[in-house]
Amino acid sequence: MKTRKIKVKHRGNFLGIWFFKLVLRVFGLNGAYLLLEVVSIHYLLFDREAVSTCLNYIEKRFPQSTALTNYWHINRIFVNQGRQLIDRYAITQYPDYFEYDDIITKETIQVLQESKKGVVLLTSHVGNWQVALRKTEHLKKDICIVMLPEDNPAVREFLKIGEQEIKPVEVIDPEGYFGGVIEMMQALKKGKLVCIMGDRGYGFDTLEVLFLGTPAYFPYGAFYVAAAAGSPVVALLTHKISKRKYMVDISNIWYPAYNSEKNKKEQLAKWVKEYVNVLEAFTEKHPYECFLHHDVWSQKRGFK
Amino acid sequence: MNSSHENELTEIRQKVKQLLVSNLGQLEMLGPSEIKDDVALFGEGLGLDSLDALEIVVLLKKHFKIEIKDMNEGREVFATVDSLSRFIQMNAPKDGN
Repeated sequence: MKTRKIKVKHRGNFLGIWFFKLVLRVFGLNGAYLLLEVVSIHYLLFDREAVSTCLNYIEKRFPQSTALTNYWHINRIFVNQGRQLIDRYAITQYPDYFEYDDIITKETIQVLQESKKGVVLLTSHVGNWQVALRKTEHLKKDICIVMLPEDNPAVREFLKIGEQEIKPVEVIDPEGYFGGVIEMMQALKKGKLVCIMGDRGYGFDTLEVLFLGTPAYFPYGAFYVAAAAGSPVVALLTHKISKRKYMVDISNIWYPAYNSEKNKKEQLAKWVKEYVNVLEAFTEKHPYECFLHHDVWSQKRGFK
Repeated sequence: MNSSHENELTEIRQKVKQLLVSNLGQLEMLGPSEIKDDVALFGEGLGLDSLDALEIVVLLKKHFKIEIKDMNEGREVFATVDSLSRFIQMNAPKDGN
């Protein structure tokens, strides 16, 4: 097995996270959310990198915004993202506290339950995709997540990756040999759900497509894998509709396939565009639940 | 190594090159004869990428009824046309082609 030194990327130190957990236990969600407002202001004032990466999105989503109002928008993003991180922890401690509504069609239910060729679950950096993933637990399907091992240890903790007490979630490393595509194909062949971030390149070739009025670069990867395996692609979106309630949208489904052996990328382009349209519609409805902290507008290939 | 074995390997190499040129967009400007047996398929050789690897997995299944089951196997097999061809020769079902 390949081993490599993992460099963990995170914000917040151990003591800070411990304090948030303590506040959550003593004062509940309201207390933790209140503390978050203060912490968010701190990041807004002192974390230039966080502000700068968020600004890429804010400038496209709110083109009329001024330098001052940009800060207001960014703060709302920080607060919303922080709330969802808190929720993510709270769900593991109090799973019945939260409620879920869903937008799902008979077709997607059938595909998720019965597809013998697996399903590519297309996730995005919007809403709380980890919460959405927990909604798939009742399907009793094995899940693989395409994710850098160092990407987010909290994700591993939340999804109990590698623990014995619940069904383990398998991680496919996109920086493994051939970008993990062989493992993805094998997982789909076994009927598993394979989660791939549709808005993150992971070294896959990308398509230039308009996103929020500006040319951006979205990877073919998920659709390429799905077309090769003959598997459907289901978009997994979620947004928070109230303090205790999430909406999970599993209504968008695509069946990428080729008409001919030539120009395969061109043939896949329509599905990539459809996905980007879905993502754009989401950001129009829920502008402060888009947590795209990597610049999809300027890096043509391999943004990670 | 006997000559029929070597002839079979030569035929497989030709077929592999033809399939690569016909199916991988990145190689469509090349003729099969322009691909050397020992040139690296990925990286600095022919410059194929992970999506091309996926395509080769599909081609192996479709044309030779062979499955690549793990990445360690793929790493060695996909090194060159020669390694790929030798793998096909060793693993293709006798009646499959």
